[in-house]
Amino acid sequence: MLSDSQLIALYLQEQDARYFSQLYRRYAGKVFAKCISMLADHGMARDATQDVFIKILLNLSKFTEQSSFSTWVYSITYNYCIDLIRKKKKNILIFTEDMGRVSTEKEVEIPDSVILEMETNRLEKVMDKLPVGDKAILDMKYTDDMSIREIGEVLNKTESAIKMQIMRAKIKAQYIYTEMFGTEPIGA
Amino acid sequence: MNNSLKKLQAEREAMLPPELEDRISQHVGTLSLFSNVIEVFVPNALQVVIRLVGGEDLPCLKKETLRKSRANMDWRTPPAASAPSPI
Repeated sequence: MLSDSQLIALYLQEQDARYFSQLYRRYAGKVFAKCISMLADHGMARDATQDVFIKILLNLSKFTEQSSFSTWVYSITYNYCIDLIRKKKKNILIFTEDMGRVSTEKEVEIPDSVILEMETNRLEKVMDKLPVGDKAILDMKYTDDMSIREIGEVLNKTESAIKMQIMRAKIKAQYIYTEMFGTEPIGA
Repeated sequence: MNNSLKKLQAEREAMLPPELEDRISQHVGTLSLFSNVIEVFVPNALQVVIRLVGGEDLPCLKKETLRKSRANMDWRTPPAASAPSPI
């Protein structure tokens, strides 16, 4: 099976749509799932997925392999969705709190199991209540298995700011869960 | 450890509308056609404009250049895959 880089090189060289089609089949589901998670609307997610892939197609020659292709695709998806949300709601809160004011706060350890052990239908409801940036950062960390450095590159933030934001997103998720269901999440 | 976020993502991945691939394929096809049109027609259109305003032929489209490259061709040997097009 051809790697992502090989498919990109072949597509750019031969302009054969079949190579791009293979890339689409590898990533379309994941991009669509992220769009649903962030936009919370099936129709908007479908249109966003289409736009993201057209963006990928038009910028494929600019992909430099400094990061993996998947990281590049996810970063286009997250940025596209955040821009779309900002255009629709001008004063929307992207993250729980401003990421610039994190370094002075004391770190609190929240186990990953708080998120990872939740029942999926409950988790879906909790995620819908989180600010879009928090959802994105938890997705990058626990679904895409991106490193803190990679997340920092996507969001243009320092590693310590990202660590703090992940911790805050987990605290927020735990709080929402307790408010919604009246009990602590299983892994807390 | 269980990963509910990955499960949720898998459920959502399954909801991908199948018609989306056709829509994107159409865009890929259009883009490919558009780039071919630019590659083939733009130099010739530019040449016509240059002639209309009384300029000289573009070096790459000059008849002598084309003739020269054709004269160098040997009809008995098939062109190499990487050989430049004489036109």
